[in-house]
Amino acid sequence: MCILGQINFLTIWLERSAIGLMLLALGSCATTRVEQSRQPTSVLGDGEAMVILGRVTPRGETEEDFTECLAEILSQGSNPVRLVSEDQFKNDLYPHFESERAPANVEDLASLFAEIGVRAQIEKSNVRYLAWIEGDTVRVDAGGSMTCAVSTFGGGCFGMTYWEDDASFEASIWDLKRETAAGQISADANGTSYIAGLLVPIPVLARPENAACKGLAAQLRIFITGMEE
Amino acid sequence: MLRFSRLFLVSLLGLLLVSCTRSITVSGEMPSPLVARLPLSIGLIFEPGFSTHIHSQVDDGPSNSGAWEVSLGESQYELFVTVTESMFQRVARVDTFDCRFEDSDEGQVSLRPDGCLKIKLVEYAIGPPSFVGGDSYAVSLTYEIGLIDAKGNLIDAWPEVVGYSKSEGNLFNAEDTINKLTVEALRDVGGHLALDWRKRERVSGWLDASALRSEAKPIM
Repeated sequence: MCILGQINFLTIWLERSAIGLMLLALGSCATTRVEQSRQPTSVLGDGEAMVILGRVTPRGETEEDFTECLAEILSQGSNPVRLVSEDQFKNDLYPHFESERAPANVEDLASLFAEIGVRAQIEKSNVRYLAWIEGDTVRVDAGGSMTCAVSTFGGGCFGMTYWEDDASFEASIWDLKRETAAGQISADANGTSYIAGLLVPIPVLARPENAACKGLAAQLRIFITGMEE
Repeated sequence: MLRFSRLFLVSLLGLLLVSCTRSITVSGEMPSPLVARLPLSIGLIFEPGFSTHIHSQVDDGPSNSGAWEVSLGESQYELFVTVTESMFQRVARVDTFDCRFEDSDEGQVSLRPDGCLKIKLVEYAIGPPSFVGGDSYAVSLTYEIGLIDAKGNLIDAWPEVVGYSKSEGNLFNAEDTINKLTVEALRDVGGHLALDWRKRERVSGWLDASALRSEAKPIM
């Protein structure tokens, strides 16, 4: 009878924990908002390419993981975008796109193209669009507590901890053929992650940066190709 | 037994110290710059030990991130050779101290460079997170570049050519971060040399006069 009671208790505990975890999982999903402003311009022609560059701002350099995520998504799918890698572009145009020297505004393109070899190199690589990516992920809230202990009778973790992250990124797109700004796309994603201590720590992670990357990449693809994936 | 214990403890301490020293051999891409090539021959004069330079630094600040040993020589040498080979028609390392060559043979006169660049590393410094703030590292490089004509006269001295780079670091792989930042700082210096050096007033005047006077000669 005692054993049956314990098994019954364990079953009820597991059921309630599963329900709790499902609720946490739903609550941890990231929400994304994407906005776009666009100037009338042409989509990518045959053989034309885009390059994605991380902008260095006083707040710091844009995370390399984010620009790599964008490049990976855009180069895949049924409507892949031809990309020139950031490293290749910077090497081909060295030193004009090093962090301290890169053009800050589209108006600087005219003086850049006046430099020896720059226009010829860009034409050779057939890069049509340049997307400057700027932004970062910040922690806006955190709380809760969890205790983990180990003894001769066993161990486990109890409690719950959470944190909320906000990922905010913006893409400024330059048309190198027309030497004008083609438009801007911004993506803002917010999500809360949890770690529940139910004997073992069980993480339920929201990934707002990943959500922002996917949102921004989808809009970038439509922006420069006129088509979805 | 006591002696053995002491020897063991000393060896253990030594091992710990060695394991706290992070060693890096700087490596990265130094591309050729997109610049107009001048029809001149330039000799490169490097300070002794330039191409084998190893920088040692101990961080005894609040973060106490340990000691650094950075093999910088090969990369900095590669940078200056790569950049100057794009700037000038002929470039070669020369051993003369002041860009003058002996008048041993009249026929040799035409084989001297039009001028020399004298290059010296002034400072290399790693800024740990305790200094820079947050989880960020920074690297700063400063060189002194002098222009000497074929008669040994100092035409221009640029005492501080600075390259700088800053980034958030990876706690588990700070070596990769420092290597990346050093390469970026070196490339920054290369940009100053390729684009800004020729705009200096005295350099500009000398370049104009030299280019009109001669075609690039082979260097002895």
